[in-house]
Amino acid sequence: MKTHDTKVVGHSVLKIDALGLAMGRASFTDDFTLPDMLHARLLTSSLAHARIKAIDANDALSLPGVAYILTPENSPRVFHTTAGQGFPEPSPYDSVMFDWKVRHVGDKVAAVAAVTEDIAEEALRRIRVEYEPLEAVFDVERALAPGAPVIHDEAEARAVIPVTYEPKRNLAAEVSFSVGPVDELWERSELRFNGEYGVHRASHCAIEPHIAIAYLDADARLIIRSATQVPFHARRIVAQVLGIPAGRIRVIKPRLGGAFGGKQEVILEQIAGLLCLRTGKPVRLRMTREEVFLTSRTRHGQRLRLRSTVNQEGRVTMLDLSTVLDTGGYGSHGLTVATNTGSKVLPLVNRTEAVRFSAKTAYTNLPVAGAYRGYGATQGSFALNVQMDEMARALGMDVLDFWKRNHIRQGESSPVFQALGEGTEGVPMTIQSCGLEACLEQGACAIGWAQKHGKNQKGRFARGVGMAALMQGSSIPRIDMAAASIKLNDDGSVNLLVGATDLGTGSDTVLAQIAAEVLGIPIDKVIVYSSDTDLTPFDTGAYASSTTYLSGEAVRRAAEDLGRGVRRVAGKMIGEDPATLVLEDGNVKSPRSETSLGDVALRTLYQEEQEQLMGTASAYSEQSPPPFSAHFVEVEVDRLTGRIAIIEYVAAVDCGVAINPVLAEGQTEGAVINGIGYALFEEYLMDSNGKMRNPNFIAYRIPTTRDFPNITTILVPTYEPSGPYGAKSISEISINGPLPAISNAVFDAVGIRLRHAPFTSDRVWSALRSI
Amino acid sequence: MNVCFTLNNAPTELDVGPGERLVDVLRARGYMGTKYGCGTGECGACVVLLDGEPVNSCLVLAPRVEGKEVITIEGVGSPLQPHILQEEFSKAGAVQCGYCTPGMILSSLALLARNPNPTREDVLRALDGNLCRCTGYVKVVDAILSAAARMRERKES
Amino acid sequence: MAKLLPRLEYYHRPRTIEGAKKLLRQGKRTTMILGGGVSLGMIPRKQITDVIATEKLNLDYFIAGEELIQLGAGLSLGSAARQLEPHDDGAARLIMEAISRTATTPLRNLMTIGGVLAGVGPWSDLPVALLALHTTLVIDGDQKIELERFLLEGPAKVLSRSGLVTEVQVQRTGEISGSFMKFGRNTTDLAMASAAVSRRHSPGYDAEIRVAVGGLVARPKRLADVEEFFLSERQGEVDRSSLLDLVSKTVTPRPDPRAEKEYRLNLVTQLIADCWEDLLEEGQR
Repeated sequence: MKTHDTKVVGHSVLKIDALGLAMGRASFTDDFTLPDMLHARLLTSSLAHARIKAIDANDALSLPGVAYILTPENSPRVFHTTAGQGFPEPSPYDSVMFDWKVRHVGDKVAAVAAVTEDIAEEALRRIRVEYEPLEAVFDVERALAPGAPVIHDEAEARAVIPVTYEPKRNLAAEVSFSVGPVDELWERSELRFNGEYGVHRASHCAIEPHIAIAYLDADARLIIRSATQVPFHARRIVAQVLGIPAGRIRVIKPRLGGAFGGKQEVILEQIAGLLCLRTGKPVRLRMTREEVFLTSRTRHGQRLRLRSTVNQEGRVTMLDLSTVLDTGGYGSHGLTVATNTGSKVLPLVNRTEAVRFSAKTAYTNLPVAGAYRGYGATQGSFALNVQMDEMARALGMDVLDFWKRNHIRQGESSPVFQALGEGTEGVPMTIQSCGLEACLEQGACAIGWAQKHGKNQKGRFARGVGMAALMQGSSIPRIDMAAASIKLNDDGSVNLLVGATDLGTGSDTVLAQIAAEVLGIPIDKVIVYSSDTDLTPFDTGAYASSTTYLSGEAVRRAAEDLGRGVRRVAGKMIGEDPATLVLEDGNVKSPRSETSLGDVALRTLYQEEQEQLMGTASAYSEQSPPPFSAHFVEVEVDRLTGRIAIIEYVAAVDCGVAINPVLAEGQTEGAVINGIGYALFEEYLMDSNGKMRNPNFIAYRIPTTRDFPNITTILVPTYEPSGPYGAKSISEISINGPLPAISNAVFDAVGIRLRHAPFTSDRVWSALRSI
Repeated sequence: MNVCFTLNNAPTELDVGPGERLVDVLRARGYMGTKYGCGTGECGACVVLLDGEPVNSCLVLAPRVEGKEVITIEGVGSPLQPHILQEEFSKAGAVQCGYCTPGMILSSLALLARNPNPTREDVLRALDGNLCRCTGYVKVVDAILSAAARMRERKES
Repeated sequence: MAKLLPRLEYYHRPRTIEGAKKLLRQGKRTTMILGGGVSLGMIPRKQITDVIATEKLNLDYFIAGEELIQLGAGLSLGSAARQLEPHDDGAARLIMEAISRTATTPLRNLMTIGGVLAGVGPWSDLPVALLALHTTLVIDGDQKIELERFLLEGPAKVLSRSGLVTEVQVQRTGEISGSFMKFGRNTTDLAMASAAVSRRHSPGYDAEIRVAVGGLVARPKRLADVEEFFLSERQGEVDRSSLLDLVSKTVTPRPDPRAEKEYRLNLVTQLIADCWEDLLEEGQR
């Protein structure tokens, strides 16, 4: 492993925006108001599947204070995808702003802009919609069966890249590959396993609801402040839907109040934008919490089947994973979450002779799925890790040893990398850094695996331990691109302009650390601005675990670029060869003499051969180096109530070099607790008409301080040669652990195999009664 | 209707609609540190101190603060002189997106006013009404405990 | 954000119970008495035009006398818990435990004793504990009604006759031990099931046992058969399957999207048994 003597990178410097946020300083989209601003509200469907025969907004329009109402009648019928992805998108074009058909409860029907939210809400009640109810379908198997009601029967729905898309069969996406003699191995193996696993829909529950504010600047350009993970995709999609050039639109992303994938979706920007263009006034459109649950996006529920074979030596010889995803009323991220279910999971076990993956994504009349931290890996990891535990037990092996015989290592590859891309073929990749073995060892040691595992406890309260091995990726290879520019100021400070989107993760800080490291300046000399389509260079956005790895690399290169300029000028100033100069402590040094960055700046800005010293660079990757992780949990099961209590949780993570260890720990802890809530009780409770019964935080519970277990994070250092200062990603991976680790721990404790999430106490109790 | 109360230690008189929520009244007057997260009193992003105790300002009708004392995050520390809690939240990594942070700091302030030397369990109980989706609470608890220690030291010296 | 009460025109702040009653008599169907207002988050009341606020009625008192704990209806749950804390008797501790399991810290600072009782429902925690104690409600400052009767008849009926809950009185004489347990999906969830069990020894009387359950019934309910069962039970581990039979006979769970009836019957049985064992353990200490 390479080591680097770094001054800023690898240190837990203070998160640069933390104090301002802790002071409650105005920072978020909704913290800015504009004179004459209108407040918009959405009218959403109470039916799961219906055609709109007529819509009458006259009564609503006559309400004093109502400025404008958008309906299917007066809004653009431009087919697009709301998924904020690269272009052309892998998600189907199956959405229009307001359609004549509603496809799930909560689907958008109309929008009202009024002088107050109360008037807008009153106006919603006065819009008369005549529906023709249609038969609805809430189950993926039924949706894909012949004769099912067709959810997208419109002629315009289409895929824009060459992929399988058959809306007449409710098939929103399909992907498959097969390497090696899968069926033959299955037929002739003595040790074979076949299990079905169910993973459910869930809400991101960022505490800040989705919001966009649109206004016109002095030149009548459309400015949109938005809580978005993808400002550049938002600009492109708004331009597409509104039919105006991207250059006439500016998207500004202020501080974000959490996102987790939920704000990778462009839902509100085009509506607020159009209301603004139609009224000429600023328009604010914020979702209520209920709308966040019903009208924004969820995790894809999946029904997975995993078949595997293993030989007597404890080597997994074949994996065959198939899955059906529920994408709800629209196909947002339906293809790519499907592929990631295989591509971010199957390579973990790479000593197989055969591997197969197939996925179908089905439309249903349920809330729309989309990107959610983990992005398919959460679902696939559950199936794989539970079955690995089943295999190990059948072999009489400790699952930890079993994993050690089967997991991928540095210098190795998997055919899955090449087989599965995002709407295209994948990219072959050799793992250049892998700390999984160390994660397994250190995590096991921290939880006390050897002492606690396999205790077979009697009595009402039984404890057990379980584990999971995980991987993710770092950016989408050959698709994602990130850029940065950096300029030198009078005092030796720099402005770092990045398209990368800090969602609250601290990526602005991480990027500032990289720039500071390259330029040899303290972190407080780096002024970060992210992200604004007018001012910052392009970045595909904060998703696919890409920011530290890819945007970080762009920043490193941009800073190097600026550094070259600084050395060139400093060389002249102190009469030294620029190539020999070192940037350190705010100075440019040779062994004999030195000058400061400030003096270099003053000379170039004001004194001689004036120029703006700046650097700019892009990063694009041929690979997506996975972070690896091993999670361990100790649970206590109450046999009488079925309650699972989390006693202790350990996450050992290899994210390469952690640029900021405290922030890396924070990503892990947050992901783990989200994963625990998801595993134990976070759940959409649907009625028989496809209506969510718990669209609020009273009835949809997420973990509070009183639910939180002891979480230990272990950062296992490796060095990823393709990443900036050896870094890989960390933000997503740890949400994948709790589901399988808890399921396996419950088996260890009480001998029941939980294959369907969430593991609510009543389900555990029922399972306990049936053994 | 008119409401007279003390806002961040300053006597304040406001004209409010009787059905308005305290959070909206505050935000409309520029106190943007009080956030909206759910509107049903569950998330705690809108927590303010009412007569020293944390409450969800999305469930408080504005007239209810008549004659009372309201503290918002703007009344805690100042940009040039942050409160120890604000410093410790920043140092510990307890601020990720920061949307829940003002409410958490106000809840912590009320806890420490009553109990300067809380246990971990005391902190977990006092913060049970402040949802955070980013941090997993680990560093939040660390921040409050170290702030408590610093505040005790300061008091002693 | 939309207003909490979009049609509200008048926010009345009566200073006397008489004044409040007068307003109530004059009130329309769209008039409501406002305690802490927490239920407005759960049940939107878009049509309300008049609110009779209780905060100026001086009902936020707490009196811990020799025989009675008196909780003013305007007292917040948070404040009640803080004032109960120094008291070490079984009644005080049982109330404390139920309060500490109610909602969250900031919500408890809003919720009032009166509001919790007037708005009693399957989600109620404190009334379950109060029902396991000898609790009387004072209505309009001068009329008394046993909590048990109040719950049987229902607040709508009782209060439509007379007016507003002004005080809760809990007897603390004798040697009381009690236990409250609640079960939800997470710590601060609304109860899927809850139970409170108390035992009181008074000199010269037989021990008295009270058992109350909440969560799976529309309003907290006393289970007389279970009380009998415990009276006849020898000290020791509870026969939980007999208890389940008994509970299943007397409790008809309302539907709850979170779990099936059978499970919730089991749950409440376990909670009752746990409360009982908790109480026995405490007795041994």
